[in-house]
Amino acid sequence: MGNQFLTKVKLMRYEQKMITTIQKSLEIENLSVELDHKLILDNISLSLPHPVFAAIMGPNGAGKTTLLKTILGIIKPTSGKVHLFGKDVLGNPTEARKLVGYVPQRDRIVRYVPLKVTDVVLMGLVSRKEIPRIAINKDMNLSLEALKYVGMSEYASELFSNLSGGQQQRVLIARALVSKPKILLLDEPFNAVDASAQTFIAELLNRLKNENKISVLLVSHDINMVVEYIDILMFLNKKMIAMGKAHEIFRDDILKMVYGEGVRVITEKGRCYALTGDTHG
Amino acid sequence: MVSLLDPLFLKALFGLFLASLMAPIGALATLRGISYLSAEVSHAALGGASLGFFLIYLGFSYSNPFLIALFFSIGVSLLTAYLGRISGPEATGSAIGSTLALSMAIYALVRGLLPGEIKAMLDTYLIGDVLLLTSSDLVQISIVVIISLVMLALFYNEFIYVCFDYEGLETMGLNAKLYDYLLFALLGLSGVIEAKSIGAFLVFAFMIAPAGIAKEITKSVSSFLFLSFLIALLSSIFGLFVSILFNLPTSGVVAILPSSIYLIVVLKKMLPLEKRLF
Ligand SMILES: Nc1ncnc2c1ncn2[C@@H]1O[C@H](COP(=O)(O)OP(=O)(O)OP(=O)(O)O)[C@@H](O)[C@H]1O
Ligand SMILES: [Mg+2]
Repeated sequence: MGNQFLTKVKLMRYEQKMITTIQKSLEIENLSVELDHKLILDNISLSLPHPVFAAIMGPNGAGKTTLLKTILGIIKPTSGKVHLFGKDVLGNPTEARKLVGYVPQRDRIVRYVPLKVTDVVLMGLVSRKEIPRIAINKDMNLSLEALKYVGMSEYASELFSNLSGGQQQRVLIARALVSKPKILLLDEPFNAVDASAQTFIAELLNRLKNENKISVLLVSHDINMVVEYIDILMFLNKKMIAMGKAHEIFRDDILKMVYGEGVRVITEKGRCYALTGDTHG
Repeated sequence: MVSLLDPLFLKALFGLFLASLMAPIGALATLRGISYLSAEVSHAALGGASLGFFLIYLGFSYSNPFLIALFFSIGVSLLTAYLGRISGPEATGSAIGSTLALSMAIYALVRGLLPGEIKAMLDTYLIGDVLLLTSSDLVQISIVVIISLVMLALFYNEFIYVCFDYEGLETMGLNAKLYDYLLFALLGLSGVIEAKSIGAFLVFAFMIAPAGIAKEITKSVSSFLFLSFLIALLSSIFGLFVSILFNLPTSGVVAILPSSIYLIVVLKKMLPLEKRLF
């Protein structure tokens, strides 16, 4: 009797697990994007489970930002489909955007707008409201909570522009999290961020996936600091060049295909590092 | 010598107050990276006004130069926004330059065709005299100022967000493009107010210099906008008093103060810390 019950519980757990693994966070089918009559993304397909920690790697100009913006419905593709948690992004961007938190490339942010850290996080809530878009007390509490999560509470009333690169990045992650998304998209989150802050952010993203069941998709030209957390790694250079587990595809020959002959791969303690010499100004 | 309770003086004071109320919009333009556009739109207003006066000269007595100036400066501002959008943000500067050239060309061309007395009326849009503002001028200006401030209050957050992170805003489902255009339209409204009250020539003193000074000393967006207003107001009132006391042209004196404070503030930044006197 007791045994039977246990088996049943195990079975239920198993079924639950099946359901969660079946759920897809992001599905892209045969996506092509042209900008200015130039083919930027060529027939991209991918499918990510939920929750997942995925990374897309590629050199400058590979189309990484373009891909993120297409997933968000800001850039219209010439062909293909994008679904976020089963919702059609191209058909109904408003519904799909509610599920996404976006952390833009930090150099796109105008630094001489003297916004306080809390104001930046509040933006993640206020801009999603209907007119009149005004913050209420509840929004303030949610923002402080998000700042706490990224370890930036004590900077709440500082000016955003006075923070270091890594601190700004954490605030932008808080802004993306404050609306409680199911997936987080990050554009070059490690750019111009010092090594210790990179580790902090990498661990933070891993915690998001494991504890809060939020999927993470980041694009970067350099992913060494997250390699150990990544479930799925993709190499993009206009086309999807390779996709798989990090240790499977983080290989010399594939990297050379993506970055050209200039790249060097170093293997140390079972981890691979790519020296791409490819940096942002 | 004008007495301080003279309606002429009170009207001038009110005119400067109205012109100063637009300084926060100049400050907003600074945040958007288009501070020069706030100067440009008042020159567009000048071009529009010249068309309005030209129509009067041609016998269309219903022509209202103020209204035509208003639509012209909004139109030019939106056109600049559009040009900047299709040719990239780096090109906004050239877009501003070319629409400015167009407005000034219209002004120069039309002015030459006008008889003396209409020419004089038109020229108040270039170098205004607050002491000459009539009650009906002030009513017209007030209406546009109220519309501008209501717009600013209604979409304050949206405007700031557009300036701070346009792309991020789009991803949050907000129509960033719409609010960007509204911001340019608001700037267009400020152009006609500045041209009518103090003249296009002196617009820098109200729309650019106060924001430039305020930027150096503020730590929040709201105080930045408010200080721009305060600096514009106090320096222009001071200028008005000085000009009356020493019988100098008001607009010139009004413009000198904020411009020179701005220069001092900026030059001070170039000095090494230990050599700064304040
Ligand atoms: N609006 C646009 N119009 C035309 N071409 C564009 C536009 N935006 C991007 N591109 C081009 O598309 C290509 C991919 O750009 P994208 O910004 O997606 O690359 P990326 O992988 O994010 O590069 P980076 O590492 O430099 O951020 C580039 O060649 C770029 O010049
Ligand atoms: Mg990019």
